[in-house]
Amino acid sequence: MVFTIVGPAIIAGTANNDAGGISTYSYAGSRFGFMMLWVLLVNFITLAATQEIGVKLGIFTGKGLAALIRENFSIRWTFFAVATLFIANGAVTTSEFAGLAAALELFHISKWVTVPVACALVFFIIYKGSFAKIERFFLFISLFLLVYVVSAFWSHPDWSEALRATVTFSLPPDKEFFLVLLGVMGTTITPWGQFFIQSYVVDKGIDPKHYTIEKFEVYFSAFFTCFIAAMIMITTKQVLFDHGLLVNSAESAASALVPFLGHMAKTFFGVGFFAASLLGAFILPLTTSYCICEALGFEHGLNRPFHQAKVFYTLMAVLIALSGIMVLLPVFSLFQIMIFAQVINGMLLPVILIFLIILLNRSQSLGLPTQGKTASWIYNIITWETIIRLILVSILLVVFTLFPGWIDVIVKYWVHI
Amino acid sequence: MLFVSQFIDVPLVDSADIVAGRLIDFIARPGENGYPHILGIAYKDAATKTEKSLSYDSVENLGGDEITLKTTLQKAKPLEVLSSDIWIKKHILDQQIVDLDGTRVVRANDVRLGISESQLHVLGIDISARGLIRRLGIDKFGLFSFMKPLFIEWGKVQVVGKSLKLTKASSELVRLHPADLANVLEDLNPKQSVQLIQSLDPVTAAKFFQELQPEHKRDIFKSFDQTQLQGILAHLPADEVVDYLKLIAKDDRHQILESLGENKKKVVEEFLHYADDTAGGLMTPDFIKIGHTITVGDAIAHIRKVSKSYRTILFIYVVNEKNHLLGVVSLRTLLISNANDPIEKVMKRIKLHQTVQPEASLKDVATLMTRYNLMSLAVLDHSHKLLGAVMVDDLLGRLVPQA
Repeated sequence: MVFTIVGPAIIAGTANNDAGGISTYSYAGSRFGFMMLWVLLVNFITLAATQEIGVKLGIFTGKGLAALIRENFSIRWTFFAVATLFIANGAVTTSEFAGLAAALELFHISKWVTVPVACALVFFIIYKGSFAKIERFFLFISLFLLVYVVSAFWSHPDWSEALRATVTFSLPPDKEFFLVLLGVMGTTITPWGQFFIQSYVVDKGIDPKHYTIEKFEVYFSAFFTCFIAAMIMITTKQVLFDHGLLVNSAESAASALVPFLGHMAKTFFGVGFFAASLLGAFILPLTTSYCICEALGFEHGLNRPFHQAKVFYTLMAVLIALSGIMVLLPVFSLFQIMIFAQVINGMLLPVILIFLIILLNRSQSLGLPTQGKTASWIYNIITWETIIRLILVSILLVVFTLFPGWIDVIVKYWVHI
Repeated sequence: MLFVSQFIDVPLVDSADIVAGRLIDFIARPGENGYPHILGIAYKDAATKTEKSLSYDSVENLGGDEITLKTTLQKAKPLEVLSSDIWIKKHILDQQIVDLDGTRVVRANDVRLGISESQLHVLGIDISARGLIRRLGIDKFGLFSFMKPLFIEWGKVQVVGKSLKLTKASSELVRLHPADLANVLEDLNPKQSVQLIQSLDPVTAAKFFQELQPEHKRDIFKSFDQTQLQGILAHLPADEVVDYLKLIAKDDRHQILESLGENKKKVVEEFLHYADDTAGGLMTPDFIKIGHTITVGDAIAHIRKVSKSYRTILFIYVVNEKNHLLGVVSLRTLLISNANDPIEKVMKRIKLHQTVQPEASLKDVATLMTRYNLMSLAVLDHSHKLLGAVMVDDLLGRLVPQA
């Protein structure tokens, strides 16, 4: 019984950490050491809560988040939600293709070869419907992330220091800290993930009587996601931060595994990173197109041929093509793309969370079972806290970027407090 | 063209030029046939800020900028709202609907109104992207005139979801080919599928049930109550009942078996023993068999009598007193033969190697049917008694399950 929950939870937990996640956590660990561990603890609480809300809404209404938004908010708000999702998911899709390119660059294959081939391949495989067959294979490969758990222990960190950092709130007035903070928050809890978990339970047709089991599966997978993230941060802190080394590429990220894996590190990391990116490259366009078509009422579904679901397939193709182009543009490095995508996620997440919590508060009218007052309070507090936190950090980040002089002003006051 | 979206939130002005409020919704009552007519409007009262309703007779002019009333607000006729009335914005707009023409599930982006015989009616539903543009309020200056609206007229619409209870199953729905409806059901979530099937009469419901994928069957039936279940099962052929029972847990089977009629129960219990991908699992007990001593005329009379209870009749099997299979007669043979001819004279004798035993594999069944050009293959038990027949469409269904 335990295994039927824990098994899928581990897989969901590891698959949740895509290339963008690995990059962001690696960077955070190498740049700030243990200072961001507390964010992961907060992320765990928020992720568990928001995923549970998604599961609850999905199981009891039998509808996806996009459909619920369409049926409960005005058409203008629906469009706003759809646009937000498109931008956020577009950024993540771009980051997945960037991850693919970065992984293969480790093996000296140019991104100019990787990206066009990958774009064409991904669309072709989705269209032919073969994704379902290979999905399991890639999910299996994502388990490679468990190597970070071992290497974290291997690196002999000071566990008491790490645990202390997990419960210590530190917020240096550093512009870069805010940026990475937003990235770490946006990579664990994502707009696409919120839509995905609800669609997932609806598609599986999960019975309301299995709600409690699903709830615990969600808690476990949220825990694993954040646990793996913590292990990545600890590993990079020990191996890189302590030696003054910074992660700014796939190569330097891979080097965090060298003490444990030796010269196999680069290959191992490359393969795993590639698989995680490819999985994301399939899932993101698919879930984006699904949700947008669901909200706007276009036919969707891989069981439909192209001419019956033109918008569905075209949207996917456009998203993949745009992402490919963005990756190839010589504006940002591949690594920067991956981190920025997570920052965009973090900035746009409040929008989706606001829709989510409003829907939860309307749960009576949607057909959900009555919720206890305490439960309702807890969900609302956690969600609204996250929303406010994300908005504040986003605003501060924008302010600090546009008006760097203000940092000095605030630092002075900070020091006084 | 008049659309509901053009009038939502438009101010209501009475004959004294006082703004009474803003339009919230249109209230329609389904007619016996044709298009529901608009009985009244719901509006937000400017003074009390509450929702009120007025009879449509009070409306003088429906305009995009303002809606004028014939009299002052106090003299305007109120509306008796029934719980069976349809509120267009609340129940239809933005909800999922089934397009019975295209047999697909889409969303109502806008609702089209029309005036006929000086009454306002609901004409149909706009499911196009143009409808979305109009709802967003940006359909101005002919910018989007290249996008055509796509209407489904009311008769071809089946509303699902909240308002399904209000509109009984459209007659068009009942006329759909079961396979097309099954397609539609796959697009709906289990809750909506259940509601849809529950709105049908047992005979139609049974017809559609057979076309569903196994997982759907199991999920849908979980939500039915005992009486509804029995109603549908009574109209399902025995082999369908067997297939369904195989899907559900052993403990639940007993209850269902008890609810069947005696004869059906016996057959079903027997057939439950055979594995799915064997002749036994594929065969049906629903075929016509007649004794070998009768004439062609008797056979035809018998078919006329019992034909309603059988799904497919292409051949009838001829057996002796011990239920051993002697031969088969096609309908064509019966039609062209003399009524007084004994059946044994016109029947085609069946040799043993043209039959199978229940344990035969699907491959064997398919091979035999292909080799001998058979539309139905007789399945005999070990003492050569006629047990059942495998029909060619059932075989195809098993070979190409995803169709």
